[in-house]
Amino acid sequence: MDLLANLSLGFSHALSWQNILFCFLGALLGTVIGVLPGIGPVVGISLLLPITFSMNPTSAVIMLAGIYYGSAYGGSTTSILVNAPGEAMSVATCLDGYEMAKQGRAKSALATAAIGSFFAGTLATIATTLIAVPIAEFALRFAPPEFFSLMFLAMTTVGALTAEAPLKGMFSTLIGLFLAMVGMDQQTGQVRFTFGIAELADGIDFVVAAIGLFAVAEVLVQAEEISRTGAPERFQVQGAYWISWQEFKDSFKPYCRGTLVGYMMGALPGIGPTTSSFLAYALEKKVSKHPEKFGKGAIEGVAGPEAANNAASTGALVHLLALGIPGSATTAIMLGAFIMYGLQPGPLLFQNNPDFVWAIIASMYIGNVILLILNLPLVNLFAKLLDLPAAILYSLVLTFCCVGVFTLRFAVLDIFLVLGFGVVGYFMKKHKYPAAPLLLALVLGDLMEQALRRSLALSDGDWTVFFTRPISLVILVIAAIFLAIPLVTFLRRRARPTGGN
Amino acid sequence: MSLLPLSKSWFRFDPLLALLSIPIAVFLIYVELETPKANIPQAVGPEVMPIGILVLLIANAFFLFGQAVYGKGKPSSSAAPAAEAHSSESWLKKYQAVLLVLLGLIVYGFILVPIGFVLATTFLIIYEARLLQRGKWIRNAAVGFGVSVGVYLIFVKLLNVMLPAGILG
Repeated sequence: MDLLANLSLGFSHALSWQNILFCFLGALLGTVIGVLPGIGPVVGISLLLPITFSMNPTSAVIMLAGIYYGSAYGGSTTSILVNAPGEAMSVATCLDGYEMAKQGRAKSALATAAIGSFFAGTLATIATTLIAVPIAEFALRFAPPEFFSLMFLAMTTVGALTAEAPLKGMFSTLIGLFLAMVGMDQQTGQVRFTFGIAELADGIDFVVAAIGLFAVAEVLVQAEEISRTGAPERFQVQGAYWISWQEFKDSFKPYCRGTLVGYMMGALPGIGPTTSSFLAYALEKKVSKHPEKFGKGAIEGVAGPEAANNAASTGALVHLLALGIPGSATTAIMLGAFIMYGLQPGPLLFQNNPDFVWAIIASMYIGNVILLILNLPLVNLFAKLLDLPAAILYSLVLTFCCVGVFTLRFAVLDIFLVLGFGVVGYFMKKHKYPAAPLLLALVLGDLMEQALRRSLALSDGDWTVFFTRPISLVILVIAAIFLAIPLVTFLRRRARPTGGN
Repeated sequence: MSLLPLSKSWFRFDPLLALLSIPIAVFLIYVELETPKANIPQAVGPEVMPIGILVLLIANAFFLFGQAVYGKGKPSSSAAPAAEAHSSESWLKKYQAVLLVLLGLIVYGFILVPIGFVLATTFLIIYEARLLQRGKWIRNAAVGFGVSVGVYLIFVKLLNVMLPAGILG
């Protein structure tokens, strides 16, 4: 009964016209921020934070939360339409979302992403209402060895992405891990592999790599295609409806599985949304009766990761409220905002400021409805972008890629880096080296190294620490299974007679 | 095993990439070993993970090379470029469009700060659009200038993100 009383208290605050307006504004701004390359939620919230200082703290946090989960909605749009993931968590969406767009199914892909985001966001909010604190407390049992094992598990999921060529997948992963080592070591301050280039001391930004490997590489492939055939590839947008009943049915189970994976992973600082989207993709491919369709426009490959990254985003926000632990750079900025408003996130926040906490949770229900209402009609508008003449579309894609990476730190070097990654991505695409494992490794590599070194510092250099802790051991066993499956499949396929050719 | 088919199969992307990555990885290991270390006692130093990754990369490159050159049922992805290499199409002609797109981006990188965002971006859009479709100069120029000014105003006036003003500033 306490729960219902708290929730109705929250709704009584969240349903005031001011808070609905700020929730709407946040959701709208978040969607726009998600669509613009380079302006992710971190930059978006940082830019808008000063505006909120004059506002009531509850309204301010409702708006910031709207930006936060709105950007998760918007981020999938560019991934699907132009193969440009603006966020690490949207990379998995590219794999099948862009293929769907190429087949003329952009509307279905965008609608699947929007409905999946709504579904996962709402379910994650309900889960939050019911079990936020126990889940968050479980996450506290994760120490560096468990984090290392979990990231190792995420790396092994690339097997699911590269079952046809595991050695190429491994090569791609190792390159990504190596690139993650470039820059200053956080523990000793030692600068690694920068070769005297000062801008590289901060490391290689994920957005630069993602935009280069996916968007710029795609433009290069299309340029070559146009020069060869003279006719650009046009993505005719098909269908009057956003999504067919069959497509919805095909997406429903992936939504549920993705939500579960995402919400559990959202509790883990730093790695939640990205890792969960890849795990959800791998899971969908594993359970599918037609795994060969993945990477070629399988709707499940959009539904699962989109549900997972939105559930994880919601999960991370909740754990910020419940424990005061930020799960990402965005939630870290929000933690700073909370403190500036005079609020200390953590278990006491639920006791001392129930009206505030429950108003935020209630606003998340409202925000998800607003985002669905906002995003479904926008599907038609966004899909119309594909009707632009190819010459204009690809020129604009290149322009936004350059603007996006330049505004990250105002360094021209990033334009050259994105170009370099574009060339690498072009050859990877031509020779079927998967780019997604490289990006996943680039995102997680640094965190993985820190977790490894902290684990070994805790155990005085004893490497068995990963096998003697129960949670870590269970995760490693799952990782071993993930590793073994594609290897066994590959070896069995090679052992089979090739039919005379 | 004859050397002839072996030598032919070397000139494909996968074996060349594998062969190239081995000396690069060895060089990077050398660089890391030679880098002066901070005098901080640690269970595992900052060199362990990069060196471990590079050693794995070398091992992977050997397997990749072996699979590409000696493996049965070689991946078709490598066979296609090999066939293309034998075609009459010259290397330069084949990659002409790609190189020209890249050239536009390189020039953009160099002129962005000196001449400013609006002019450089207008140039980039007109140039890239012209590469992909002949004619339509007025349309491309209008889109280029309109988008450049629009993006500049959104970033600078609305989001307070500074972009280079260049000679127009």
